[in-house]
Order: sequence, then C-alpha cells, then structure tokens
Amino acid sequence: MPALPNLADDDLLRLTQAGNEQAFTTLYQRRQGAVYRFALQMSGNISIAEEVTQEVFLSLLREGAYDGKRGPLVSYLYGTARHLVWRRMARNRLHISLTAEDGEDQVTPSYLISHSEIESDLARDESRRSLRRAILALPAGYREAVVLCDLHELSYQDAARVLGCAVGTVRSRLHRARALLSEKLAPTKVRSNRCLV
Amino acid sequence: MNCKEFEAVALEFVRGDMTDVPAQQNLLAHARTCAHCARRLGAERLLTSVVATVIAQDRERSAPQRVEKALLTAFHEQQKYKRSRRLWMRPTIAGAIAAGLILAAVISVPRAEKAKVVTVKQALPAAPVPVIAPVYRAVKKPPPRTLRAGVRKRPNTKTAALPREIMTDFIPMTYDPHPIERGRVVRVRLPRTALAAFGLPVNEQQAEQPIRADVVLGEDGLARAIRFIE
Repeated sequence: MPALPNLADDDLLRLTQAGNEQAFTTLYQRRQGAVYRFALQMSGNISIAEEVTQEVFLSLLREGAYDGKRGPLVSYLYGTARHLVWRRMARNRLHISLTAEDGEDQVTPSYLISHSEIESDLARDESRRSLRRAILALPAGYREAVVLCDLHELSYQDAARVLGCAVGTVRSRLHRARALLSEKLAPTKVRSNRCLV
Repeated sequence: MNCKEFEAVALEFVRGDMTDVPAQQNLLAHARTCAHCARRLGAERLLTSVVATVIAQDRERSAPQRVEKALLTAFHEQQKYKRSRRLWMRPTIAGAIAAGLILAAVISVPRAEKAKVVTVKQALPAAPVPVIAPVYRAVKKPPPRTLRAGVRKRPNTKTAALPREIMTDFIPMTYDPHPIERGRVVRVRLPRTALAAFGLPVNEQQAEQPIRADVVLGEDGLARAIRFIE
C-alpha cells in the first residue's frame, strides 16, 4: 500500500470513513487551503471562512455525503463550500454592524491585506487591494467565476461542475467579470472610443 | 481580425489558453492597429498580473489550527460513537439472526420430512408390498355432554313398536279383593299347553313350541296375573 500522501483523494476519503485518522489529516491538509481561500474570497469574512471550512470537512465524515460518480472530490468540496457561503451570507445580511461607517472599508476587510509583509512595490500592493475590493463588489455569479477560474485556476469545465451550469455560461460570466474588474483597475477607461476596424 | 473577434479571444490569449500561433499573431496585429483593443489587451494583461500576485499572496493562506483541532475532535467522537454502536448492535444482530434461524427451522422441519418421504419413494425400487385390506370399525362416539344431557329422553314408542307382539289381556290368577299397589312383571317361557289351563285355544301344530308370557308378581312374590304373548 502506498504512503498516505501519495494516495488519491477518494482513497483517503475511504480510509477516513473506515476510521483512519491519519488519512483524514492528510486529506484535510491537502484541501483545506483551497476551501478556506474560496470561502474567504467569496465572503470577505474570516469567521465565515473558518466555519465553512469546518463544515465542509465535517460533511466528509458523514458516509454517503459524497458520491464519486458525480465528479471529483475537489468539485464536491468547492460546491459544498459555495452552498455554505451563500447560506452564511444570507444569514449575515439580516445583521447590521453598528461599527461599520465607511462602505468601502467594509467591502475590503483589513485581514485580507497582510500588514506584516513590507513590500517595496506599493503600487502593486495597492493594485492587489483594489482587486480584492473589486472582486467582493462583483455580482455573485461573476464573483464565483472569477474566484474559481482566475484565483483558483480551475478549468471552465471544473468551474461549470462546481457551479452547476454550462461551460459557456462560465466563460461569458468570466468575460464580463474581467471587463468590470479591468474597468476598476485601469487608470483610463477602456469603454470609450471603441474602434470600428 | 476585427474588434468583435478580438473581444471573443482576448481572454483566452491572456489566460494562455490560445494555442493557435497564427491566431495569436492576428490578435497582436489587430492590437497594434486598434488603440481601443490595445488598451483592452493592456488592461487584461494588467488584471492577469494582479490576479497572479493575489494568487501568490493567498497561496500560503490556510485555515487556522483551531479548525483542524475541532475537526479531529469531531472525528474522534464519531469513531467513539461508531464503536459503541457496533458493540450495541452486535448482540442485537446476533439475536435477530438466531431468532430468524429458529423460525426458519420450525417452518421448514415439517416440509423437510415430507420431502424426505418423497425422495425415498423416488430413490428406492418399487418393492412388492403386501396389501392388507383395511378393517373398518364403527366407532361409537359418546354424545357430547351438554346441559340437556341430564334430561332423560322419552322412549321412542315408534321404534319400540316395530317388532309387533300379539298379546292377551292380563288374566287374574288368584282372587284378591285388595288390588296390589306394587308389583313386578316378569317375562317367562311356558309350555304352550298352559294356554289351555286358562281356557285359550292351542294350535296343535305349534304345541311343542314354548310360549312367552308376562307374569305379574305381587310384593309377596305370588303370581297375580298373566298374559300370553305370541
């Protein structure tokens, strides 16, 4: 039998459900980062990201929760995380923070920006901050497409499986989302002076 | 290539998904001639580079240690629960299986016996079996005891009258002014010549055969009356 880190996700999950703690830890270490980042980039909320990560992996402990015939495990993890993020965000929408005054600062939480690292290129840092802010301001469908296809570098097919839509839909959503992001990042507006060549 | 076509493939080009080299050259050639598409391409490249830096920055971002701890605790609890459930379920399942086996055995035993008889009949050659005629005996079943069983049944006069008897009236044998209150009737056989003693005709052809008679005996044992029966 190969070492646990060399095993595929499905094999690790099988061992996990058979009671192998090491297999569960290996699987968690392998996939938790992606799930956590996805939840954080989608919600912009660190507590939601933590809760979602925990719940996604708890669901793996339940037998029968994941069906290998419906796609790879990573798609299941993203799909479950997406579902949980939307549920959390819908619930949080009912609560209004009394400390939030500036809408812009609310959109880009400070924890998304690493204060510890000092970068020489402040412009790049500013661009990153702007991009995060712009992604969180995107409509939900566009945001999902950008986060999955650009930030998580999923193929159109994999993203379509996670989102439960057609590949063409993912492509068009990503196209529009990137156009919106480009507008916000670019110093000059691209929209004007369209050529007719 | 025009602007519309450029728009359609610009994203694939920037993402590195465009593998067709002539198409790439066409796109770049169009961007050189069109300021709008050149800016569009520049914006896409800028966005891609910023996205790459965000990816690089986020690569090390992971869930805090407490999430893993909480998950491991949940994992251990689940395993404990599974183990306890297994321990509890084992005797239950064993009991259920045992009960099922007993039930199946009880149901199948008579069938198995029947089946055995059939197989023996089929397997053995037909041997000459002495046939004994059955003897039928009428078994008298006692009448069911009911509440009415204690009531004495009336004698069936119809059936009693079936063997018809010809009899004379009782003929007094002694003179007694006091009629008897109690007595017994005794059936006796007498020589047919006794008929003549009472003045009755005697058939000579049957003179040798005895004749039945009912004699009434008083409490003192003396014969008081007689009747002849044919």
